[in-house]
Amino acid sequence: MLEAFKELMKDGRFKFAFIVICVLAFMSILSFFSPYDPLRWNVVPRDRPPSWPHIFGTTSQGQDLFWQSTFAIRNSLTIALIASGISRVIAIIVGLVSGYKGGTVDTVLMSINDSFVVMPLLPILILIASVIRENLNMVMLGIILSLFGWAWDARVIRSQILSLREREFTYTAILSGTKTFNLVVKEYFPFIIPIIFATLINNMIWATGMEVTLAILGLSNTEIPTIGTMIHWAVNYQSILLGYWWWILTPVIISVFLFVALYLLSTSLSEYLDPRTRIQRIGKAKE
Amino acid sequence: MLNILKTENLKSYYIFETPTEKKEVKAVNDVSIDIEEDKIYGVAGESGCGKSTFLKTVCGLAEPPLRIVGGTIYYLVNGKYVDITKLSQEEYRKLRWEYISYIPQGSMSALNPIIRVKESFKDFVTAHKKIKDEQKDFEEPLRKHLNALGLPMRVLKSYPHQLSGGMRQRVTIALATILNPRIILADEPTTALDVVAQRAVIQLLKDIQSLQKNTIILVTHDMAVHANIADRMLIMYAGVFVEEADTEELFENPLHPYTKFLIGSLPKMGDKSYKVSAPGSPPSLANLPQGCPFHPRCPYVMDICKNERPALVETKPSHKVSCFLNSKERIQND
Amino acid sequence: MTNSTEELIRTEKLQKIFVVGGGFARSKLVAVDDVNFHVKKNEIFTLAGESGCGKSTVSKMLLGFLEPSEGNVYYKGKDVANLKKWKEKKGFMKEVQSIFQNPFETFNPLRKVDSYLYDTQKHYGMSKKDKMVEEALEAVGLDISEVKGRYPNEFSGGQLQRISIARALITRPSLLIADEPVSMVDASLRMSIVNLFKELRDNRHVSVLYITHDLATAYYVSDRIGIMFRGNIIEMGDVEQVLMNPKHPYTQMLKESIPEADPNKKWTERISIKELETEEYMRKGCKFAGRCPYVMDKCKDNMPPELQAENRMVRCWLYE
Repeated sequence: MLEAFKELMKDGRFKFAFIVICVLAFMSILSFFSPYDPLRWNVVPRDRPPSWPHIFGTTSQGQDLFWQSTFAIRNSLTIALIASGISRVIAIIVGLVSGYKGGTVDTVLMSINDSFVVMPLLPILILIASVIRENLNMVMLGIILSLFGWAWDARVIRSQILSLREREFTYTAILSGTKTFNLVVKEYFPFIIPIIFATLINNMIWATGMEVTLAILGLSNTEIPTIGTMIHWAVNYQSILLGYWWWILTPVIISVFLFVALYLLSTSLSEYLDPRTRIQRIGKAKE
Repeated sequence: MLNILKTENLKSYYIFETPTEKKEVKAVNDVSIDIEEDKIYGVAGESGCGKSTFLKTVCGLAEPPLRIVGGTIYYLVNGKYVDITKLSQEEYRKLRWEYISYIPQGSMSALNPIIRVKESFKDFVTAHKKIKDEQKDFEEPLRKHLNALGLPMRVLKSYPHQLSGGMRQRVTIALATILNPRIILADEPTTALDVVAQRAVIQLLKDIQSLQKNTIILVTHDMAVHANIADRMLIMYAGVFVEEADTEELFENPLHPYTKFLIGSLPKMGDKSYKVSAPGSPPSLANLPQGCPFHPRCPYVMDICKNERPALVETKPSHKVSCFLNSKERIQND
Repeated sequence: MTNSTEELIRTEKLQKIFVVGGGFARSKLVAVDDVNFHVKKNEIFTLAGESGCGKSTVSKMLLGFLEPSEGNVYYKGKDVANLKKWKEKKGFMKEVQSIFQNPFETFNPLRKVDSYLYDTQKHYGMSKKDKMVEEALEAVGLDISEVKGRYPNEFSGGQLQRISIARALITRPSLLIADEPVSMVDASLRMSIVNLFKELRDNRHVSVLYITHDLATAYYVSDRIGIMFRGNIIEMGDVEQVLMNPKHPYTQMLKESIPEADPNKKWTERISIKELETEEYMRKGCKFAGRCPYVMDKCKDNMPPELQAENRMVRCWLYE
């Protein structure tokens, strides 16, 4: 594990991404030590530009931007992790079963899958969000997003399984007496894991993007601080027009860093985990 | 007979570098060889011995991680010897295909699958020659070429997937030889083909050679193919040539212990006597033993074999071998 | 009729039809048709033919990986298609094992090779104490220290193929189905693997079904041979008879086309190939009729039955 990490750190992209993610994670943890309650207004002087002690400045609602950001990062990441985590599980189960079993099971599962793929996502989300807006807490949002995030990746996993099933080592494993479940886990998982990682991170990017979109449109619970809702309030109070640049810039810069870091993490990890390059690395250690 | 190709102390290695280690796979390890004109040479050896790499290197196609680490490669071009490792990209391009033709392994998949065969030929020819009059400069020579090689005209109208593997391979060979190259380097042209298709490909190569009077260097591990087509043979082992002789001579009087094993282990129809392959396995090209690369498996190993590498010397007329049992070096050192 | 207690595996009227294409452009490809052969105890039987003749399809059906369209496969008298439960299937696989053509694909490149050996030992009810893995490796000429903890890309093709055979031997099978085991192994190392088959037959009482297109090694190692062409077995019998004195025109042509590893025996005659068409598969009647030098009218419409001539089975109207 440690060697893998060291290897990865040599890749400039991974290094940058890792540092950024660490910083963001640190900020999320800081949120537990916030001196201000994020739901309350007017706890600090309003509209102050960045200065000590309010290093990111303050909003028109009288909230400290720095401490707001810590909550925002924490909540956005939580939503993203819930959404992508649950959708991974669904995608793996559907992809594995569909790919290995084939036949009627495959046809049925893929029809359901394709229905989810073609569903127009944004209108439906807007609909759901506007109906249950007040009750839309983070976990709910995460779950709803996860229900839309699995379909595409399930197909990817399925095609990987389909090709693996025809490779000769599948037959060797069967002849060795390995039963189906063990076969899939022991033989195929090492090939699937890179896909899972890459799609996990991509899914997180997507989920965060969705959350931000919904928030800006005012469709999620705007009381809860997230990156999206911060932007929402800043736009609503016309912060740009009034010259309070620090209010709109803080969430935007944070989100840019988050997206870029996740993207770089995704590409460097999937390159590292790609079975073809892994195979080259495997024998090397022994020589 | 002039030598159309000469290599001197040619070394080409695959170099893999990670931040933590450096690995050198010595695929062509100090090879000096002369190839005569108007002959078919067969290069035999196990997979992983470096024969495909030798071909690629000699053709000038060494790309990282394969690098020419030392030595020279001379081709006889218009009466002068040219070192292709020193040519510019442009000069090298001109030489390729018109002079040196390379048929890589598995090349039956090299035809563009979405255009008809005739178009592939056209693309190829126009990339190297200006065609002013299509009929005279392209169609006529193409028909003549295919006719001479016994290929039916209807392959021109077909798509590659409509042809069988054997037919595709023959078309690829026709494509590679349409510009009348002086030297053809073919890497395993008959592997993966059926016995009957294989026979047709061998026949085709022989026809081309007798028509165009060029040199063919054919690489394959199948000794029976060599027996049928090669005039002169080179046996490669662990990156070096260990024996060189005319085909009949090599089969009748193999001198190197490895060649003896090779010839002795060939199954023959009508012969059920016990055949034995060489014991053990070939060394890893990244981790070669000191001295003669074959010594760990050699039943005649002597002390000198473990420390020094024997040179490829002529011990009988026209028959070279790299072995201390046979070489005059031994006599000198005694 | 052969003594059924001596027989290990037998096929009767084995047939496999593939449906090619879909929708309105479907066609049927009869990959295997009316294949009848058996393998006895202590023998090496070769199923030979060029690529595309159906021999790999037959081996998949023998192992139960593919269901026959028609016909039966019997192992020691019992119909293999009736083995539905996992326990029964495992019992079958204990006795009938297989190795495959591509040694580099036989093992998962991301798993250590010895894990398959230990898996086989565990799943077939043996414990580590029995040392079956070490014994099997010894039988193929390898030591456990050479194999333990290594990945497939650290071995050569020949070594991997041997490890594959070792894995198959752990269950102490009665029959080993070897599907083109040496075609991807270097010519110089083939004999050591083929010699291993002989040793298995003589010393360990394992029969071998050797599937190949290489007639030279088939002649060297087998007792009996069946030649396949476009899905049918067209000649079958003692290997000395069939290969030294072939009766079917296809076998004769095949034998002539094998290059001899002897520079004094080069081909003198030229051949000209008309395209080998997949239409040959779709022919009514004898599939070789398009290329046969002795073709008669009868051949084009009627598939010849299995006829007996000079100590072997021939599917050819010439021998009626």
